[in-house]
Amino acid sequence: MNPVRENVYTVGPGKSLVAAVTEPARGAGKNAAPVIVILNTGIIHRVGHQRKFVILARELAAQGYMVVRFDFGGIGDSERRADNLPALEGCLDDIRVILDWLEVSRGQRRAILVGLCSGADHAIIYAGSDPRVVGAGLLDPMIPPTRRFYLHYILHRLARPRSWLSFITGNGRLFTTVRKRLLKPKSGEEHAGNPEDERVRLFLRDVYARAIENNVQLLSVLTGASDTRQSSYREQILDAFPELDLSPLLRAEFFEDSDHLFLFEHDRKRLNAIIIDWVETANFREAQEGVVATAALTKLVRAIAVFAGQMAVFGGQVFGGQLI
Amino acid sequence: MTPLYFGTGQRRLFGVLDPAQARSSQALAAVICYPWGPEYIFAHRALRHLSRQLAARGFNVLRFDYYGSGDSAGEESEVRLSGWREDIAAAIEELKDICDAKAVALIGLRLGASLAAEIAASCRKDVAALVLWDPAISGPEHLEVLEIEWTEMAQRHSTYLGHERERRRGARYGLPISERLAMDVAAIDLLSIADKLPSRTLCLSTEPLPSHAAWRAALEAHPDGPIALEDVQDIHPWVEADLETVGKLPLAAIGRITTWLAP
Repeated sequence: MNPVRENVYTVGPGKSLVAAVTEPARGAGKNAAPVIVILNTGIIHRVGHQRKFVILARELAAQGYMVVRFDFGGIGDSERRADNLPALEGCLDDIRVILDWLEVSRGQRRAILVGLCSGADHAIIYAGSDPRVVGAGLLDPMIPPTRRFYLHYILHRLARPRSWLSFITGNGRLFTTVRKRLLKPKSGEEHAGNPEDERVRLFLRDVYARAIENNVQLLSVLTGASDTRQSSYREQILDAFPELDLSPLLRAEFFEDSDHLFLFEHDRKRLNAIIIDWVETANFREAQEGVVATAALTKLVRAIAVFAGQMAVFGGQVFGGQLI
Repeated sequence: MTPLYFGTGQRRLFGVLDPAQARSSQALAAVICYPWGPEYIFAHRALRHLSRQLAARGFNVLRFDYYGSGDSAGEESEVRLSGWREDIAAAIEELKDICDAKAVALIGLRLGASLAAEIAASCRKDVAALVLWDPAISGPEHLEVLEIEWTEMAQRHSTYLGHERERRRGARYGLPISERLAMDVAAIDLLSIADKLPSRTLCLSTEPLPSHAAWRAALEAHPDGPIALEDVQDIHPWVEADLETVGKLPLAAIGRITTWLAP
């Protein structure tokens, strides 16, 4: 592996965000390559489960890329935000702060956001709001179920005797799903973070539409052996949003045997190889001249606030969690 | 909070210094030693909170990642426990240097507590106090507990038995852990060094283990007077939180440590 160097910085107002920068040894970097920014998974700090993001950062840096792993305010080593912004808006603002810092201090005007789970959701939500974002690597993002997903799910369940036992005794997801379909709750009663909720699908559709508008290259890596059981095939992201033409910008991958967190080393090795290949081969657009991110971000934050206001309960993997 | 690197060029270690927030007549210093393997990532948040609580009580606190772990240099496959003991010694020297302290309190959780105990028992004069939070008392017992924790986690997250496949490939806990390191961990035996621990030692237990009867007896037989093994009712911050514990901190254990170190 080519030599890399690592340093840590405190960034933003009050130097409150901790960011680790991994980059090629002096003179070995790729000229004008976008910087890769890796986001937190839930409340796990920037190292990642099984140290996955440290290894990924070093492998990318060995290929010539600058990589930044940072902790959102209140997570890992970063200080809590001093304002009272809701968690999601705070995270989006922290991404902006990091990109501003990279632009001013390193001259980086193009960025690829990479995240797993809630990190993927933060990445895609932000991607459409800032012209500096040219790519989003989405590792098991929140994804609405499709007919094909339900078919896979039901066939898989029918083949398991335990599922029948759960169904007969009134437990288990199959029973719950059927019950929910028969007894549809009144508006606002469902969990807003539930990807089965049509309002969540529409929110995500708009988020992806903004990313398309911003000409952001997308990598979607879905897992098939995850406890979250929200995806079952590679093209689910396309089928979930039939109104959108994601294909020209999308590279879709499916890890049938991998869990949601890529806990096993062989899955992480394959994942890193795919991410590196995508970063090397995707057609990332050039920096946009004279476009200011803040206006788009303000618009996005306002849209999120409107969405939040429509929800009776605002929870789920991207929206919830006390970030303390 | 000041993130920093220390150590040598070959063995560059990442640490976070939480400077003292309250004045004290003498420089107070504490080094925090993390757990190992899959326990490290979950314990980070609780140990950050402990660090800040101690800083609020006048301690300069350094917590750091061992070589081959977290943000420090190196690969997991290169790790030996002898190196991690040297890393703890380097962290003590670094912190003494930073805050001009003559001695430090050494605090460890799980395997970090075992390593801290070994350092404190090695005749160092600059470990003024020792806190052992659910230490690994017996290496084989600790490996067994880690295997159970890992299997539960893997089964919770994966609908396939990927961990069985991984085990067949010779890996542990989803990490490329060498057989030499596993043997190092298996060799841990705190009973054999119990009589050499500093007289100012706090030992906390939130989880009963088969080894505790012998450990309690060994602590009580300490030559400078009995050391208590204190049972504390609290969550286990080194395992992945479930729906009941998500977002919670082990405030009872952290409170006991801070009041014991800074009454």
